[in-house]
Amino acid sequence: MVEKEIHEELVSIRRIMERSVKFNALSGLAGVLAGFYAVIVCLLVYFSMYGFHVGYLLGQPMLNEKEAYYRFTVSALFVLMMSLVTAVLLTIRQAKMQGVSFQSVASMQVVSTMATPLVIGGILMLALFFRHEWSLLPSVSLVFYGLALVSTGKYTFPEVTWLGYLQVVAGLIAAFLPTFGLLCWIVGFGVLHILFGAIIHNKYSR
Amino acid sequence: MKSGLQEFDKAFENRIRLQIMSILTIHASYDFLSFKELLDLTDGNLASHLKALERTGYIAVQKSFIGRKPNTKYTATETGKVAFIKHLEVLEAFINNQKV
Repeated sequence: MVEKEIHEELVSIRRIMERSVKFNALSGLAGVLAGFYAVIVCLLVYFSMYGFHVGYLLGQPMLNEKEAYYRFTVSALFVLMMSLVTAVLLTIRQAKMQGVSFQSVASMQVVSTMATPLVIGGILMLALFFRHEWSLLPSVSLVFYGLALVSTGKYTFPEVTWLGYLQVVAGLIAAFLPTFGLLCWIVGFGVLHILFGAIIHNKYSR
Repeated sequence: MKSGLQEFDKAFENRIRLQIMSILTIHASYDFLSFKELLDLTDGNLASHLKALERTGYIAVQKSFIGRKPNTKYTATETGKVAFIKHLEVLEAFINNQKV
């Protein structure tokens, strides 16, 4: 039947178009792990500095701010590296399991879309760091990372876009309430990653 | 029964050619290896379909090298894009006619 053939043809076009644009081997598990790294490292640094006094997370102006932000920045870079390595390794594994290449046009789109706002945000953060505007660092990192995710969502799971919007919101809250910056950072990079990583893993990787 | 089948574009009779064209309408350019992987075809098979589309003037080819590896990129020409959209319209019209 001709009609059925045409229908199949249209379905196949649609599927091919989607597959050529979307990279669906991102690992949700990597998101969960990145979230845990962020929470654990951040809390370790915090407790190593202030013991079990949690007031600085909840709006008290930070004691010894310079030293604190110096340590947090260094450990955040460490978290970033571990997360990147985890994400790349797990995504390669996932791509192999799905039988797709992790070096496709679609995956390169994901990488380049992520990289632009991240590099710009990173340079801006360097400037803030050297100008001693530490209290803005959590906010700026969340906002730029969030924007990177918002646009990357077009080329992968739609949940990534939502995660991005929430990161931006966390970052903007941190900008208005800098004394809650650290808490926003833990919620954004930590809790939201764990939550959305789990959602993506459950929905797509089973 | 009135059928629009005569208006079907011969270049798109083959499903793979239609798929190639659909990819090139959303990507500014696409290379041979990526096509091969996405469509899961052999070199020869893919090459012959690309050649056919090239001959009708629907796609253009740019050959270059990355290091020593040849890198062949394909882009849809204006004629090709117009023909593709027209083909889709014919398909759509055909399906709509069937329903009535």
